[in-house]
Amino acid sequence: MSIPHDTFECGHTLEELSQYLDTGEFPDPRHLETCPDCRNGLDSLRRLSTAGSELFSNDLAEAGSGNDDWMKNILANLKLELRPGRSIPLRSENAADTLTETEGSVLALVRSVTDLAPGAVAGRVRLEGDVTVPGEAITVNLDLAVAFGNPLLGSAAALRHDLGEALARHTELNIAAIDITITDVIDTPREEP
Amino acid sequence: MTVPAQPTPAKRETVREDVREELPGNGQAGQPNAEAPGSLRAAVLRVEGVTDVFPSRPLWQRLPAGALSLLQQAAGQRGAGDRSTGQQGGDPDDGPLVEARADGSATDVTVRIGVGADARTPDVVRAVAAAVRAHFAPAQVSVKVTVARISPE
Repeated sequence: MSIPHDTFECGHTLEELSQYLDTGEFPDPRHLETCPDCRNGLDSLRRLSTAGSELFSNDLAEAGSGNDDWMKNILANLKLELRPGRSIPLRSENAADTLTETEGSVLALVRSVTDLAPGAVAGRVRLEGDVTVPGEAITVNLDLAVAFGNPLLGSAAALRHDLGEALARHTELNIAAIDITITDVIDTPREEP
Repeated sequence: MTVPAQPTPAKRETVREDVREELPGNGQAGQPNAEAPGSLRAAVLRVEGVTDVFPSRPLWQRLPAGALSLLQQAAGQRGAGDRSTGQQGGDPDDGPLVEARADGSATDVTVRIGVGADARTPDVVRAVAAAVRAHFAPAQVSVKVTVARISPE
């Protein structure tokens, strides 16, 4: 898979993670157990691979090559999101404590919920607004690639509901809106009559 | 690695460890609160919803050079100790699972965790903070808990 070759904070790259999934080889295998960013990346790549297999069973080689624009966009955004990012505060019962979750963990959550939706793959995911300030209104901006033939409005409504539930369960963010943009409609191979 | 009993006020020492008896107020083995090394990690993992305890490396990577030097010194000492018990030491990914900074009056404890998809993350984080606080009692600690990963469903 052709993947952007930027380095994460831990010193590894999305390309190395992809190679690990393809070959089982990684420069520092033990690192994969202790790096949350790499583990989030592996999860995303696995889901992306699965989605590619399901959507493009007749054209997997081309999809997996990373030459498609939609695939390139997803990988480029994934590269950006596999970082801790901002610290999102959580309420504490003790004033001396500092409880937070990383923006990267929340973006990975949004991506994992999105990728569960049939025929959809998360593209760019962004939290708009100052997530470091408790109670600040936050908008989730999500770009989607969907397979041709899926009912877009119904899928978006269901996904918005699922994302709202997940974010309420795992964060204390004040989610003002979840904006979903279909940026790619993937024309999957059709069966011959 | 030991924390000075009466450090100079301006000096703040950083220690890398997961060993409660090295922290202020936990000095005597055999007392009610004394536990084996590694027990803090176990205490955090016992909190329902916690799936992982990650090394606090990203934090100490950002420490000033002086503090980092202390940290590396501590790591070296710890590595030597680990070798004596047949365990590996010195690899940044080996730890620390908890970073504690002590100045004789207060201790800051930093923990990075992963949380399961079925858990309610804010509740889990507060429970972890409470578990860390209970672990170090009666010493007063400030707890920093960061969720670095929410496991997919």
